[in-house]
Amino acid sequence: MKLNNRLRKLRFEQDEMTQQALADALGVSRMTVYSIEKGKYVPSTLLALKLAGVFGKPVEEIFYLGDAVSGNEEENEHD
Amino acid sequence: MTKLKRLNTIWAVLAFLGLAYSLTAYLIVQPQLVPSLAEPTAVIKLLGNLTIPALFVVGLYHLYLLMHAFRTLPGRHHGYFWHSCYVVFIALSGLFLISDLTLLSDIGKEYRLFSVREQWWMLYGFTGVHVAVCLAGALYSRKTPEQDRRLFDAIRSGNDAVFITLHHIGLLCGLMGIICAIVSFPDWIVTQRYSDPWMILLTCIALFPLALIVLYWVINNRKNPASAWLDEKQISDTAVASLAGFTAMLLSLPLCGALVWAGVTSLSAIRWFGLLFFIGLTVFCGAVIWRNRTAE
Repeated sequence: MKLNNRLRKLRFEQDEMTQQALADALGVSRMTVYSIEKGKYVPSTLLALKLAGVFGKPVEEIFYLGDAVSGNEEENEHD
Repeated sequence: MTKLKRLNTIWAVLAFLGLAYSLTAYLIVQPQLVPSLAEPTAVIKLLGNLTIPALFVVGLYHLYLLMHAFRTLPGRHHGYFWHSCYVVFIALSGLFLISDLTLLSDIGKEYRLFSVREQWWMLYGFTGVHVAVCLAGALYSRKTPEQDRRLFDAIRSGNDAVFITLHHIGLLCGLMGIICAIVSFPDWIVTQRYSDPWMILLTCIALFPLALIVLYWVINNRKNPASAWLDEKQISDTAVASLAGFTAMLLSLPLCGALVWAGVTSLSAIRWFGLLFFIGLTVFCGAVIWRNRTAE
């Protein structure tokens, strides 16, 4: 089962935060943020909690289990 | 003109003066250095001795270009491959400067007894490489670093540019190593007696650019825990790439065996180990780049 996320939506709700800005806030590379957002990489618990801290949301509001089509409407979009 | 640009210009002018002097000295000395000349004249000795500081200045410029190339990495957003090529060529050209001194020494010792024509051609070839690198460096180093972050601070914070460029350099070194190993496989190219030192020399040359950047990385990060050097996805990519590299090395073993059985080469341990190592390095770096391909 795929782990989907609402990262892109949350970034844009947060003053259209760029992937690089989010990466800097988390202390990771932009590629890592990009890969998580596209669902290509599943972050560690630590990184997921850091993400939750940046957006001020619980982890389950950022990540959710579901099929790829219905879960991630921003699948093909990126910066 | 900013301080950095002024520094670039001064270094470039000094390096080109050094190269112009060396080339002029070679052109003056070469026709005079004939077997009938029992002892080099005072002019030849003076020109030869002044070549050492001239090449030293060129060497310092190479070091400056290398540092500048490292510093501009964190601010890069694309063109990692060409930047890696640039770093590799600076490193190799710097290494060839040492060869220049060795060749000059050989020419001085052997011109009475043997033909030194090949040494002169190698010297001119290496000088051509230095000129090309200094010219590229003079143009390229006019770009100042976009971000004033030290290279390995950038690596620690998970900078894509640095991470990917490091692996591009590794890929280029790996490919150079494979080519060097394959070229020296047939026994008729290098006789058995010299094949092992030849392979060691080629391996050292091929690994030199990668060794430089890794050494710099280790020195700068010596006080930090290894876990902080890369971010978690980069560690994950490195782990997958390591598996790919190891698998490629294992699969290449039968290839080495086939080359021996086919009588292409006698394949001493150094030669097959060198080939396997470079195959592993190439696949490892290629796999890391492949997993990060969408970042460019």
